[in-house]
Amino acid sequence: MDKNPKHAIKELQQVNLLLNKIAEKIETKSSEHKINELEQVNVLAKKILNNPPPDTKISPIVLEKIHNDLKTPLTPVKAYVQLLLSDNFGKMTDSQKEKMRSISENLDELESAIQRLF
Amino acid sequence: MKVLIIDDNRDITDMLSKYLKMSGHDCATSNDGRNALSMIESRNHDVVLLDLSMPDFSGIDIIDSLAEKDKISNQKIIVFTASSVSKSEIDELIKKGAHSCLKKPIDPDELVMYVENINGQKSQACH
Repeated sequence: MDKNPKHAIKELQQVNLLLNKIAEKIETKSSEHKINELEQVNVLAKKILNNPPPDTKISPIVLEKIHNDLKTPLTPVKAYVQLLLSDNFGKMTDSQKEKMRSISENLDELESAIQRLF
Repeated sequence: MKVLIIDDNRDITDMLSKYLKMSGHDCATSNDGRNALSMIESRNHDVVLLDLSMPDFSGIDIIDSLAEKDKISNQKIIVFTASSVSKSEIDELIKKGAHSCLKKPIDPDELVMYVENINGQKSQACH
């Protein structure tokens, strides 16, 4: 069964839906859990980043939608990371802050990569 | 529940596995059709989420193989696809032993609810 652009878009939409839901679930967790979960999502996001979708002919309107859909979950995740770094959910250890800074940098990189892709 | 997720798209297996685990379920994954076949045959799961369009050995090949070896009965195999498959193709897969069909993209919460209530679901074509 050959995969066509519509197929690729549907799969991207599925990944995006899952990313959004995972971000929602992380929001409900305690600070300690948030850090662990964000680290895991960070690893998954890096993998997605390093494996861009194959070249497909996609209309500009659809591209814009995908661009927005990919960027949208990043906003609350970045906001939460900044809140955690500012000790808004309790004082973090130096080791925890170091991990959060790494996550923050990778989120910035992911955001830049999305910009470059589109 | 123990869920076996089979999809050649590693982003989907990774993310879906992550979300199902966060929802309280155990997950195993496979990104290769032939490897997935032996995992299904081992019956170490409650539900299988099976992508149809995988290279080399597709979801359809897996269902055909299981049906031929008579290893598909009592398996809860949910076909989970982004492909444009016809109703007759899906009906054929269900006739061979697939439980039902879900289309990508699906709301993850709906997917989790469907999986959790699988034992109460009747075998049917694409949602």
